[in-house]
Amino acid sequence: MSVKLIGRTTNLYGKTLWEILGNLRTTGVGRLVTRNSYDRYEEPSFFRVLSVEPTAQIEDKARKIIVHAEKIFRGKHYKEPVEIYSVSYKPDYRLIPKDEEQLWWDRLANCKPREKFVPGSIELPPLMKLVLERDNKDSNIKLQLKIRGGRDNVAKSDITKIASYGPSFFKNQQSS
Amino acid sequence: MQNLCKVELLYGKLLCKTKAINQQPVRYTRKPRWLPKAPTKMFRVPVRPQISPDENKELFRLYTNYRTTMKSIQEQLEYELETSYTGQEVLQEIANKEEVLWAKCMDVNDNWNAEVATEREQRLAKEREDRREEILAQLIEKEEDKKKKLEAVEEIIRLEKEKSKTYITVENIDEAIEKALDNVVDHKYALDLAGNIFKGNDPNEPTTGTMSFQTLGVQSIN
Repeated sequence: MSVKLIGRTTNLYGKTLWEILGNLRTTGVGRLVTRNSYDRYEEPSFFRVLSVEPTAQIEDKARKIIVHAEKIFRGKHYKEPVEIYSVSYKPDYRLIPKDEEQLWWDRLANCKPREKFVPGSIELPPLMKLVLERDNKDSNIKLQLKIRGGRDNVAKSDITKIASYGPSFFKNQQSS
Repeated sequence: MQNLCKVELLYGKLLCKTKAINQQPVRYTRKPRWLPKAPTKMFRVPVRPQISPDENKELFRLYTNYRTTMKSIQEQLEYELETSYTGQEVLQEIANKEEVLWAKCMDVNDNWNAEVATEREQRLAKEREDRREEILAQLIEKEEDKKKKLEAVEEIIRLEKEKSKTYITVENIDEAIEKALDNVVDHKYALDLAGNIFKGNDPNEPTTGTMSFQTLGVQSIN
């Protein structure tokens, strides 16, 4: 019997966390789980389950569970374990078979860390420069570019580089 | 949207506009949020937007750069604002400018005051002169009035003095008594309808001429 899907399409395919972990012995503690949406990245991204705590089933909805896991995202091993609760219902997870686990750890060990250098400052915009000249102020200054701090933001500012003001001012620098 | 139009109209009325400029009636373009999905749209599946990954990446890059740059520009502007406010020279310059402006205003005001003062002096002098003349005229008039009254009074006095020659006094009382006794006046008389005066006790003999009714003012009984 062929299944015909109707309704809106989705990016998610796979199983929910409870569907995977609920069927394993000792609820899969110590096993590796990954998300299918992480396949878009070259670097390995997966979770190592540390503890599982199921929550109440609500009617026909997918069950949510509280999972504490070690997270490896884009080749970076997080120092502290993360809690998966609000996204645990998504049918996006995939269990890594036991014989492939070593392969993933090897991939993690072999992948090189991501690097990204962006210019540390930028030229003054043309109109602003004119205004500063009109007011007899120093118009040879550069504007400092600040990088927003984030857990997964690997960008580092390169002070020696100066971006020129234009529509595609650091296109080349960001390609790395 | 309708409410917005109403408000626009209301303000138009309040501002005494003859016609609201932005008046554009718009009907409801969508159902309220709390109503369920329309029966005709119940099984409609919206087409998923196809976003090319290249375009998506490029847009992400552009927006990231835009936000980063805007933040730094904003910071620069804030810095300039701070420095412009705290600078002592700038404050002094502003104060000087205001002082100059104030002096200019005061100069204009003084000139104007002087102009008005000369005008006022002239006007007051003229008014004073007018008033003096008026008072003088009044005085002369009063003087004349007084003179006239005095003359009238003197005339009366003169007439009275003339009359006083005929007054009965202690000296000539006997003479007067004699005169009165000589000319006895009999006021006892009768009148008939024709106005004849009858003196004495006989009614058939009219002693004096007739008198008209009109002059006497006697009314006929019949």
